[in-house]
Amino acid sequence: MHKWISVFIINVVLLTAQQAEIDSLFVQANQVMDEQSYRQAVINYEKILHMGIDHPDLYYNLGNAYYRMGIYGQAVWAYEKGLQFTPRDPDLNFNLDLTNTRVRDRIEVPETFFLLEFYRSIKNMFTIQDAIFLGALLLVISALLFGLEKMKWLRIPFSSRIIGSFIILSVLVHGITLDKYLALSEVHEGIVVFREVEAFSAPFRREDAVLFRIHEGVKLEIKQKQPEWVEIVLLDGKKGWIQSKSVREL
Amino acid sequence: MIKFPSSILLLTVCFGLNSYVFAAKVTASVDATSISQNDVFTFKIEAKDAESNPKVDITPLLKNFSVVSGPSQQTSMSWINGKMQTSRNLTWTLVPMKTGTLTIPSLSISVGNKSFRTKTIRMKVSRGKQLAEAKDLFLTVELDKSEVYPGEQVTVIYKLFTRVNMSIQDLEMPKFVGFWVEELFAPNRVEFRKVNLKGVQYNVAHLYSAALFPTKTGELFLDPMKVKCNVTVKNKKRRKSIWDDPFFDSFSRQQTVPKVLLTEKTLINVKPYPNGKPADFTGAVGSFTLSAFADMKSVKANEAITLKVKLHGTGNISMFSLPEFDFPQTLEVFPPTSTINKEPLRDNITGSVSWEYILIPRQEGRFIIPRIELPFFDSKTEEWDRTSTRPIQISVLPGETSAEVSSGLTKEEVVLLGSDIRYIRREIPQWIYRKYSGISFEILTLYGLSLIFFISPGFMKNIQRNKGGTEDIRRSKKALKTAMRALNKTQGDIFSHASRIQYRYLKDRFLLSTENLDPLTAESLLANSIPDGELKELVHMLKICDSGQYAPGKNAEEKSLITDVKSLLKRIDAHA
Repeated sequence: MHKWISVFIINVVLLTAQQAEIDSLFVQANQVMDEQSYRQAVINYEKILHMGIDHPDLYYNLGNAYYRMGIYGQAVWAYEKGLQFTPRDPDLNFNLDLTNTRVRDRIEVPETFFLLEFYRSIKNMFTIQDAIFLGALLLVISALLFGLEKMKWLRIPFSSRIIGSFIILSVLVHGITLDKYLALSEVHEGIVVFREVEAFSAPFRREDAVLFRIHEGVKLEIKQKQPEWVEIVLLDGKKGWIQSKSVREL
Repeated sequence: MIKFPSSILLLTVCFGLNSYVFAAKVTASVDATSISQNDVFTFKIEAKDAESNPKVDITPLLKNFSVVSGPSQQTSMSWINGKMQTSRNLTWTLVPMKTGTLTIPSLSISVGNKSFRTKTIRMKVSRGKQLAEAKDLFLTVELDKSEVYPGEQVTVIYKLFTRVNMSIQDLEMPKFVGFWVEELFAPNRVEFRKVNLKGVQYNVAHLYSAALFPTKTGELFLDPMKVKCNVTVKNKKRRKSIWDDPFFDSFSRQQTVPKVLLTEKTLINVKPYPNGKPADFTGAVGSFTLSAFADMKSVKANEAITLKVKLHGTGNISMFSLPEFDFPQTLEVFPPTSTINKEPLRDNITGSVSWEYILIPRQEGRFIIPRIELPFFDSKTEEWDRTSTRPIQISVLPGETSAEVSSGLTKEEVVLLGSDIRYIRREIPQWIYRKYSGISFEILTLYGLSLIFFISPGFMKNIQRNKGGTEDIRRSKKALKTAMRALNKTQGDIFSHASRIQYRYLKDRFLLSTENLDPLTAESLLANSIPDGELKELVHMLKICDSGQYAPGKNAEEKSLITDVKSLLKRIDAHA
């Protein structure tokens, strides 16, 4: 409880100090978007991000600004980032799909078992917050039913089965949450933001060690990090080392 | 006999010296230093006493002279005054290309491994004599115009006029530098026609004609055409003699002389285009019409349509291409094949170019093959013009199978291609502070709630049991009192009364839940809570009461029973 109070206080302080500045930056950026000076808009939105602020709308607008500038890699990054907060946002999804058509590389994702595919799509429909909330809600419902049943205040047929299924559901959702959490904390994804990037077989430049070339906007997994280089895995399983500044981490 | 060896010695010395002292000597000479323009002359390089043939590079000569024939090689040997002389000659027949004083420059000649330089030779080339002869034999070049725009056609015709007996040995076509050349007429065999030119009969041969399209602006020169021919002339130099026979005269007094005929250098002035050149101009000059038609107006998806774009007109049709144009993106376009048809027997190059595109629509719907435009420069009116096709509408019905769209886009993505991103959001949102985003308060509340719900039934039970427990304890504490009170009030059968009271007491006191107690169960249940002596007494008493109920007449025990039970219960209560 103590933590929450302190958080609240800090929030209040911050809100009064920063809120006005952030708001004005955001409004200003939206204005220059109308005037089609997208560079300035990008600078403003990125400034807000630097202040430690997140919001799907912020990423959405940033993505639009980058798209208008023709910097599709950064646009994909912004939309993907926004979708981390609101994975079912139709506008974000639409713009991301549209931007992806501009991405030069078409990476064929190897086909997986359909159930796994189904599970993945379900998993990607929720944020971790959503999943936790849903799990907690199911748990509360099952607990409430359980309590009422034990107190003999609730008399419905098959009550134990209903309660059991609620508990199972809740456990499932918690399992998904855990899976998501582990994925978030262990899997680092990134978007290529350089026009063309050469992937090498080792973390140093050697012309004869070029494995493949990728272009901006490609989503990839970051396996290892070194000061200048990162090891990446493409969706189709190709591995290579690229310079870390050419990827923006999600 | 003594002199003989010395003479041999002398001879050998002489010969030896000969070959040593009079080593090779190289000279260059011409047979005439003063000639007229169309005359040929012989240029000779003579190497005396050389061991091998001279080699020479005559490229410096070619600036002013043109080679009619040669080189021919000749070797001769002669004995003069007992000395052997060899001479190796190289001869060329040359014709001057200019008038005035020309020089044959100093040439470097190598003989074996030695090299020599010749002297320069000056030559006078006059045109006086040529004029007289030119009337009998000359070449003309005709241009239909001398001022053109780039890409505009110039027709050039070369003709040979002659009044003398002659035969053509060789024709050398000029190189048309700076032009795109379309050959119009080049006969395999030269044919002469009789033409009257200013009252003089000429034999005229049409040698060559071509359509020239200048590719750059500025003053362009046409190189002269060169015709080598042999002319039959009367030999005037020969002195008349008494041996002359009028019959043989015609043979003996004739001689063939090689001649080279050149056209004059001709100038074509290529003007730059007037202002207003369209941005998509690809170089078409002339007058053209463009048309396009598709073989089908309605197809199923993934079936091919042939689009024919046809350009017809007069001008430089093979020199330019169509401007780039975009097909709708859902159409797969294969690179076109083009065919050029030229209409023969025309002075102006006329014909048609057709391009055939194969289009495969990948999606159903309607689309329009856009207007294809070709800007061109009309050289007659000297104005910019353009020709265009009509847009063609094609409707595509759903296909049998939907093939994959090229470039790796999925169907959904192809649908997206034409659209634009959705617009930004302007409302100021509730900002999320990255530092403090964790599990939210609501969720923690939910977990807390569910914990409470899970635990609460257990708690409730405990509370209830505690409540029930105190009641029982109260009852067990009161058990003796109630038993005593009940014993004082005797009613009915004393044995059954006592028995009931005792069982009731045991139940209350020891919190037994068994409904029906009998002596044996009581014994086993209470073995731990009542000392052995009292337990035996109790069992005995219970048995007495039980048996007393069903065996009347045992009054002796009847009186002491109540007091016995009382004392027993008191003792049990005290010990328990």
